[in-house]
Amino acid sequence: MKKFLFIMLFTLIFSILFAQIEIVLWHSYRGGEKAALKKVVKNFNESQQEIKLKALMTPFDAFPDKITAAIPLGKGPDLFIFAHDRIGGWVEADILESLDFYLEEDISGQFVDGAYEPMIYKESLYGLPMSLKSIILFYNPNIIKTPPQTTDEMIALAKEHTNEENNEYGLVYENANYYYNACWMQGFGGRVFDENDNPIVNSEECVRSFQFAQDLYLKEKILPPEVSNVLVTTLFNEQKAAMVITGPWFRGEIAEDVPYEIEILPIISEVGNRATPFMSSEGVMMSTKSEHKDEAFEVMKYLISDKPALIMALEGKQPVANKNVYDNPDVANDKYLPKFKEQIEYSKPMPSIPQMTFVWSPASTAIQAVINGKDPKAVLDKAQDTIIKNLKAAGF
Amino acid sequence: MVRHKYWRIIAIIVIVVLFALLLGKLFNNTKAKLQVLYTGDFAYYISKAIAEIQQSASYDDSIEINKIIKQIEELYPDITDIAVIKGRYFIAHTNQELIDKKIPKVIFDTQRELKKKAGETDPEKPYVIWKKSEENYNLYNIYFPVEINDKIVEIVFLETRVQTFCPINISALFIYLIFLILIFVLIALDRFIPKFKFLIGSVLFILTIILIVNIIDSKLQVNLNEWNLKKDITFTGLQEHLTQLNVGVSVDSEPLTLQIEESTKTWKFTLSFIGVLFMIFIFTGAMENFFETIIKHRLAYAYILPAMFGVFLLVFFPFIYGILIGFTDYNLTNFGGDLIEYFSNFKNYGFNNFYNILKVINFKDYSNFYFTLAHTVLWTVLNLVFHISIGVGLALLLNDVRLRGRTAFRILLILPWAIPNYITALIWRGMFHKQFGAVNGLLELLGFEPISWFTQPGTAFMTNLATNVWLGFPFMMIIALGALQSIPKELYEASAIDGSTKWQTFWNVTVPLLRPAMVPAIILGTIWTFNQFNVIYLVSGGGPDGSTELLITDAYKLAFEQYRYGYAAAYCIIIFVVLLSYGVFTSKITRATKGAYE
Repeated sequence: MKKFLFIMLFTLIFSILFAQIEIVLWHSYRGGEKAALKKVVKNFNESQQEIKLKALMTPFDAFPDKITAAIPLGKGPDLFIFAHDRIGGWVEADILESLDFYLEEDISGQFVDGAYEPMIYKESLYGLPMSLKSIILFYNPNIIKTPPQTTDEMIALAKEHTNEENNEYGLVYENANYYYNACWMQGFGGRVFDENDNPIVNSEECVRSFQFAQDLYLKEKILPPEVSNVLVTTLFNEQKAAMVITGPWFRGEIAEDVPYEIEILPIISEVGNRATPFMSSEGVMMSTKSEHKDEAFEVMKYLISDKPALIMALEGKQPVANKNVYDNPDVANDKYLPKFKEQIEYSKPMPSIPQMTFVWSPASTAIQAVINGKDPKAVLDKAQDTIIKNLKAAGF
Repeated sequence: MVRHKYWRIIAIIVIVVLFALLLGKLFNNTKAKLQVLYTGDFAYYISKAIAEIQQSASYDDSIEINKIIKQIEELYPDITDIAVIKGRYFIAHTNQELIDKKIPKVIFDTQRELKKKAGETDPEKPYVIWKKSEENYNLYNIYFPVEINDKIVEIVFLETRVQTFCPINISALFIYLIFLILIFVLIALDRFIPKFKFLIGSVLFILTIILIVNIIDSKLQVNLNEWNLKKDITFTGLQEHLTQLNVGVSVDSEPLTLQIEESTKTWKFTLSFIGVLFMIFIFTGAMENFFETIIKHRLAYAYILPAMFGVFLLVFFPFIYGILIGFTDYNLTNFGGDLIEYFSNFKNYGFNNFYNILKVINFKDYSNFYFTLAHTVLWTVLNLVFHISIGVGLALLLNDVRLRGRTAFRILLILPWAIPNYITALIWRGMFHKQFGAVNGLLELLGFEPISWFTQPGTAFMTNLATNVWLGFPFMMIIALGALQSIPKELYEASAIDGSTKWQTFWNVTVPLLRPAMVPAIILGTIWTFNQFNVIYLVSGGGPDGSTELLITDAYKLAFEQYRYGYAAAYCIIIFVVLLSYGVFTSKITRATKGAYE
């Protein structure tokens, strides 16, 4: 019995002495990105003894709601990886810890242009950017030899390769989804919010871009009806879609025997600007309820440093935010990563103000109606009214 | 009997101690403890200096202050003055750029807004409290920008670490002691002179009122030593410092108290409320009965305790929480922060949500409550008609002994029910695709034009209906089949002997005997269909333009797309009331439960 007690005591002392601080990191990566992150976590845990980093995967659909619900109750992670667009709401809800306290030097120079700024909300920094995601043009080199540079070229090429009888289409993208249509909207010069954060979804530019999206489907007839993300993947993998517009995550969904190339989105011939999609800067953020904030910040700093970023780029195929990675010969010679980086230059960060959550639903309803032949002006006016009404009701 | 008495006393002591502890929380005394602090890059130098000092071997509190000042002055030449008053650091400097940077306009504006909302008379008063919550304490960074000769001089009141803990205050403790003794007296008298119960109850009641009045009255609070100490240091200290600086302005002492007072007030209200409830609990004899029952059946209660706990946690707590939220304007802008503080402030409650939901009747607006309600009712009625007719029809077929391979058919027909409804819903959505869907494929085969199902409210409704009919009829079929099989054959024989037709047999024998089993199934089916979230959300998605939303999908969208939790909860309460009245109404009319057991 004495011996037993002694062992118990010994173990207790031992475990207290060598107790590691556990930092929990939530992410929604799958496939290659997940494997790469796993490797990064492993490297981190082997590199030091004080902190044990534990990565937990949470499905993307449920991710933001889970964060919103779990963290205020103190049940959430210490850190999590998510796009910048929810920062505003989460800061207002006291979920995100400001990093101003922990930063010792200006680190904004370490990132690709446009990665750092979206992480700032009300003049405070709330996340360290890890990767940048925006949509881009994927094409099948078996069908298309030279990718289009303007939308006129794109439409002409697409028409050439559209054959409704055989279910072949020149261009496939989720045209009834506001997120994808934003590339036209911003290309035409439209914005979601003005300088004072008032919604302006019915501006003339927006109306023109919606008209453009309607024309692609109804007039030019280069798109299949009722496109969903499953349809995009299916048609591309059956080599029945010549071009698709989607994001870097699509690379994991392309079948192995299907060749693909990427090109930055074309210039909109009507206005001469390049199509400008929404960009999300995905970064690691800290919970206000974390019990080990200093250690958590150590982990954050590690995640954005060169070595893990290189792993995320090469093995996770991620367009990472770390600038130095692009100097690496393996990355520079990659067929895709420099293109993604180039597209980022022609993109705009998705608004991160909390008001944005009120836009999605009415705007999606609007684009659906327009795709199905309704007048863009009338539909967008209605959407604008709904957004303003809902914002008012919610206290903005 | 003696043992019972012990139980009672122990239980009462536990309750009283808990109550006292809880009440103690209301004197949420704050003890200020100072450490130095850092925000932004200005703070960077300070924190660095402190870190260096603290790492050095000769670390000592008294040296610390001077060392810090020295280092800050070296590192930060813009600082014009540093003063230390009673262990606190005040730094004044005139660097406009820094002031702009450190006190972002937004924070000012937010503070102003907050104060306006709180109904303050002078919202323009410039001060900034930058608050950061840690586990056991709140950090307050307080900035007082002061104007001297038209120039803003910032006075930084460096971090106050305010620890939050709750020692029971002496005066409060005194009252509790009396309270405690009286309860014991009550218990003691109770056995011999039950007549005095009322008298003692009244005394206690008056005492409680006095207690509550005292608590609400802030004068009691001022007597709390800790509180006074804090007030004193903060404000005379700053005033003193300002005099030393020769800036010749006085700083009003309101701001800091405001923050703390507010949170205490909400506590006071809540706890007084709990106190009143507790008193009622005692006076009405409920407590006595409660403990007597518990003691008498303690074994039984011990057995069901885990289950009770589980039910409370999983059913009652969310239910009560949901109802509470429904009466508040809980949304994205006030989400987060101190939940207890939010929910214990009576100012936050009202009937606005219900009024806003119910006030406008407009059947042309798809997002209007009444349109959605009408749609939901139509949806439920149509679904049930199909469910019951198809279910009962199939059950009658399957019940026929002449049918071969009945088991195989039965298994096949249950399949739609057995497959997870998410999958079924997604398959049906795919089948209604304009170009690649099976339904349009069939229409084209028959020579019709393909239909764009999801673009018109009517056709979109039909896609939902088809899916849900497919999903719902097996349940009715199973129930009907079970009931049919329990009908004695003799009754059919008897009616055959009496010469009734098949139709007459059906209406006079089968239907009345099916009814007791079918009515609860129909009530259940109604509630399920009324709240059939999956089908709507996955098949038509509520579109086009929200014309096929049910109340429940609307509530979901309000809560999780617009983050209007309060409004969405009010929506759900209305759904609950509708279904509850339906349930009560139908069970009264059909005597559903009674019929089954007769």
